[in-house]
Amino acid sequence: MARALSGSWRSDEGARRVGVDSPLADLLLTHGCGGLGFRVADPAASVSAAVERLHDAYRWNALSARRQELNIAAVARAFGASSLHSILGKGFAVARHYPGPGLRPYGDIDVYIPAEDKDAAMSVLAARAPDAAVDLHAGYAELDDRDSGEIRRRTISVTLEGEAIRLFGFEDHLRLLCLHAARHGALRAMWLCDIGLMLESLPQSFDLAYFSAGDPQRTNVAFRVLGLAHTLLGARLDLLPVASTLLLPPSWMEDAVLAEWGRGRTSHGARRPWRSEMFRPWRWPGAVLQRWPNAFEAAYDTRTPLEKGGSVSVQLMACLRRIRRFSMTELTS
Amino acid sequence: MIKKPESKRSGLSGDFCPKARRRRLVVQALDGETLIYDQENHKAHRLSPFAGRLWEACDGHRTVAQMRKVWDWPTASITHGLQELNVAGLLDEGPSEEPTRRRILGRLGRAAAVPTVVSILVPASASAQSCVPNGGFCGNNNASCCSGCCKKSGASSNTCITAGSGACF
Repeated sequence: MARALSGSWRSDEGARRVGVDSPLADLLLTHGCGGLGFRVADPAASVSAAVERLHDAYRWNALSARRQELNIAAVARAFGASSLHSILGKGFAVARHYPGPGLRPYGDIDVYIPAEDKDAAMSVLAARAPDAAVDLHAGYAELDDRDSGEIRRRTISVTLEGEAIRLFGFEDHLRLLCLHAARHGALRAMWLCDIGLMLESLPQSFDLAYFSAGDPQRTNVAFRVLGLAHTLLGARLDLLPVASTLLLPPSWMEDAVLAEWGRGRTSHGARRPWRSEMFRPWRWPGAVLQRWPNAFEAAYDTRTPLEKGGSVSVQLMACLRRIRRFSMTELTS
Repeated sequence: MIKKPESKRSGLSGDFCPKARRRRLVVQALDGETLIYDQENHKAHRLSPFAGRLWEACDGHRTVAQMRKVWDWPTASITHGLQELNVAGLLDEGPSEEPTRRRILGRLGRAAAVPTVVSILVPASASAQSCVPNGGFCGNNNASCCSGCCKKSGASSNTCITAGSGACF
């Protein structure tokens, strides 16, 4: 799959063609890469039924993109009327960089607002955009090690359906994508395609010092994720003025991510919440197995330096921490 | 269901004026095809280039005879296309009878019976979402819902609902 997706986000001239069989199509679809898979599939060297499934994913993505744009505009209209400062991240904010519609799937709408505005924002959404699947983030998630005023100052505005939409500045967004991917152990190949695309779309004004600002450990992780996009998916690093030694990930990271991709696991948000499992002990083995973090995710979660990561003990520690965290939440709520 | 005016319920005679449904649809053109998402039944369709043009031409004023004349479309293709658009729920004013596919095949011949409206299969992992939208299963965890509100809605299923309805988990 990594070979098939290598450079798949580039314009037609740059995309290679590959043969796609049914198992590869399954994997691409599981990872949200059906649209990209359709784009690089060589019909002459592929199983036609597999290509047709990818084609349907491509069509569905394009249609979802249109639906999502209408919903995003509705959400922006609702927040605009309430004078709430919302910022859009991931999803549309990344997809707009792809060379055509249909290449990236759309899920929920990730909206980031100042933490103190959460209740007001939820009321606005309930009243004015109840049908939009908004993932409302109180605060700036993985960017909480940075100055929130500066994040807001660096936002950019694009117009969608006549509405002004605020997006994260390029540096903040790229860092957010890298750290989000790390937090989930680069579970989905699509996330690394997004990062490869962003890496090759760096604006000339890219501010490396600002991208690197904040928690040094997170910065190191963000750099290694950029390196991962290069080593696994062939993303070009030539626009990024950083020594390759700072970017190249340790080999265990590549192994962990490739193994994760091969498993094709359910993403975090889609699995049954731990709360509903904790009073059914007979389900614990399966639930723990489903939550067993890959080595990369475990290292990020436990803040283990990447140079010392990759061991089972770190994974065990991460798993126990997570179970403890969710159990405490359940018991105290 | 919209009641069809008597003057327009003339099956597929030349003076019939089919009318495309526009409400609660999301439409996207892609590579010559027309993709339509029906927000009422949450189904997605793709229209062949011909079916897309036919659907656009159904403005409720233009007759089938005019379509035949202006675009030089064969009657059989128009008939078959309108039947398929109607079955897919994409017409407000459609043909009054809905013959089975077998009957269409028999009546129109193989060439005209090539499907022009096809349902799009939604990939199982189409969504990249990290929270559950309204209507989705949520265990008993508010945090898993995009709305932040998970509520018991039946004997055993808890689903995400719009926040503010009270009694969220």
